[in-house]
Amino acid sequence: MTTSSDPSAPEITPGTPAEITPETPPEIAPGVRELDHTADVGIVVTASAPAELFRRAALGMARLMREGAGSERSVERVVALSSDSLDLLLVRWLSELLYLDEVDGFVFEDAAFVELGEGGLRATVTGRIEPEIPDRQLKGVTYHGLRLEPAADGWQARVIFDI
Amino acid sequence: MKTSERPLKMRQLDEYRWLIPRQGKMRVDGLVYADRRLMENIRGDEAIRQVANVACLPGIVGRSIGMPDIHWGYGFAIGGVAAFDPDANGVVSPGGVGYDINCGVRLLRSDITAEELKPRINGLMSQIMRDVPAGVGAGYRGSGLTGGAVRDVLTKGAGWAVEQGYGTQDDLEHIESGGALEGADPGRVSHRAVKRGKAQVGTVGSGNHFIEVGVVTDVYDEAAAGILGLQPGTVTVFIHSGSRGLGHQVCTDYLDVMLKATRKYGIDLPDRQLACAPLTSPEAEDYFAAMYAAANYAFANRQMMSHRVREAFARIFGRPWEELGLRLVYDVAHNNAKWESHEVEGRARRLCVHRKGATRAFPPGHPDVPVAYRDIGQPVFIPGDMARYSYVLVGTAGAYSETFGSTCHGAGRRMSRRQAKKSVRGRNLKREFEELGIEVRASSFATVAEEIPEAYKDVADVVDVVDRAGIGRKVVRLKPLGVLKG
Repeated sequence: MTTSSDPSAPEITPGTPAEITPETPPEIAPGVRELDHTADVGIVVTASAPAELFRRAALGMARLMREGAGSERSVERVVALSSDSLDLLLVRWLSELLYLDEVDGFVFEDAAFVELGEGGLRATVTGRIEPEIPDRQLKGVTYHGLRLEPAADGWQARVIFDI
Repeated sequence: MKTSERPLKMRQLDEYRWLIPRQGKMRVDGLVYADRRLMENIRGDEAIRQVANVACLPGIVGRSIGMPDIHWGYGFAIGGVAAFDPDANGVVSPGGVGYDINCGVRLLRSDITAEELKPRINGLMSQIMRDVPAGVGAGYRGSGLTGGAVRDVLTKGAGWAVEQGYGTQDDLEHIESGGALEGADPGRVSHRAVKRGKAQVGTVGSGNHFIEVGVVTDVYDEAAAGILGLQPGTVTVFIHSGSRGLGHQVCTDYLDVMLKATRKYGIDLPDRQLACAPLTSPEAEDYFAAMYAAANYAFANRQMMSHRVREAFARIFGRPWEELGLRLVYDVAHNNAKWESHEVEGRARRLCVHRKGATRAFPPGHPDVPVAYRDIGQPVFIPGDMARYSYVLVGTAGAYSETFGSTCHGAGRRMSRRQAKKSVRGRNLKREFEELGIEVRASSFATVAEEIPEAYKDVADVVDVVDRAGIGRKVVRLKPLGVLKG
């Protein structure tokens, strides 16, 4: 087989990364839209401040997993995480909530952040205990194409999940 | 400009091979197997760029390879193969294995004919649905393994399941690596991973995982089909699943470790999901020990399920499964990183081969191929979508010399899950499958909507490419009769 590189090879441009195009999908939760990804799923989240962004991303993930509301029993959990950047912290936050859903059936509903910065977060999260298995399982929260950055009217993040 | 941002040069080498010449920070060339039609589709997403990104990793040997079912993944593309040399600062990357460590497919054959099955398929699928928990975390509340049993699962793999009465010693001889990877260490698996996984062993999981009862419809190689026990008109069972929550958590845990390692060892990454560590580092040693443990969990998982499927057949047919000839053909994985010996530039080298959405496909005569199949090569299973067909192939010398003994693993998606769900609005999917003669069971029809046949490429196109390129050889084609989705 040939192994040499041909400088005259035609250039191709593989597809552009997932964006909210060509049609904008409806919001699956306030400020959260689902990305079109060939095999997996992703979300684009917008919010006025990082704390709201983290809260919305968590709601968006919960909505990807479960379409309907279930039991009424509300419970609280304390989540404390460390990190060295806000985007990695977002992955860690969502991974923690994914874990709580899978082992305890804890479905995120809201969060009150005591601390949130590049170094980590402390939050009291409230949710319900869902006896039924999720409609859709997420295997993990990936770092692929991860974005968290200031946007025109606040903050925007993009997260892709393995399904 | 980073490799990840610039347009990529690519050149068609022949009808089935496309070269991505070394450019930017790529250390080796990329090579993608596809015909012109498949390439039109592949070019539409990020997969080609991901093949180029993998070619940037330290110590990569030969080429960064993409199979014809390649599609946009995270870090590695799904359908990617890459080998790394420990003597050239080669690395291991959890993103090159995936969250579903050692996900794979096993195939049972039988002496039952499709005609004998037809009046019983409804009852059989319902029985399988009752006996094999399908969905996420199914069975995890109030049941599950004890700590000691978990340790045994993680070290003994399918052997643990056989010890518990799920199957036979003969099964173990027909599983990749005998159903257990040596070097697994439960001590390197987090409590969280154990907690996620301890009640899920023996369950299918959701997403694209399934149990499929099918029939052999086409035979391309009679001799090989005979050796595999796949006679035309007879019933088969595919089981596709992996390491469930345990494997997912191992991947999550070690991505964190590898992100730190990447900084520690000064590795420049085009995508953080490619986080990795040198093969000789303590971080890599820990990951291998944990990843192999998760792989063993996956082997045990599929072993338990196949035994429960056999028992479901026995109940419905009123005869022991042995009398029905429900023998395990083989069990092969398509998400792992393993130490293997391959010849590169005329020299045998011990390499770490990552296969993410790619199947090991060792050739005839290879010592790791079961003795019974040594003349024909290692069986390879390529499931298609829920309605059309699936294939059984065997490994070839071509795969061994070109792709580190690897071939494709499935059809590959062509439609996003959101698009798929949108396209089924207003349709009666259950009736559509009934009209096709396929009995479908699912814990959630939302999953079926995302997995509709048209969401996938035609697996025949994918298999034809690997067959004609010589990195796999077609043996038989199967048609689904009953499908259980998680």
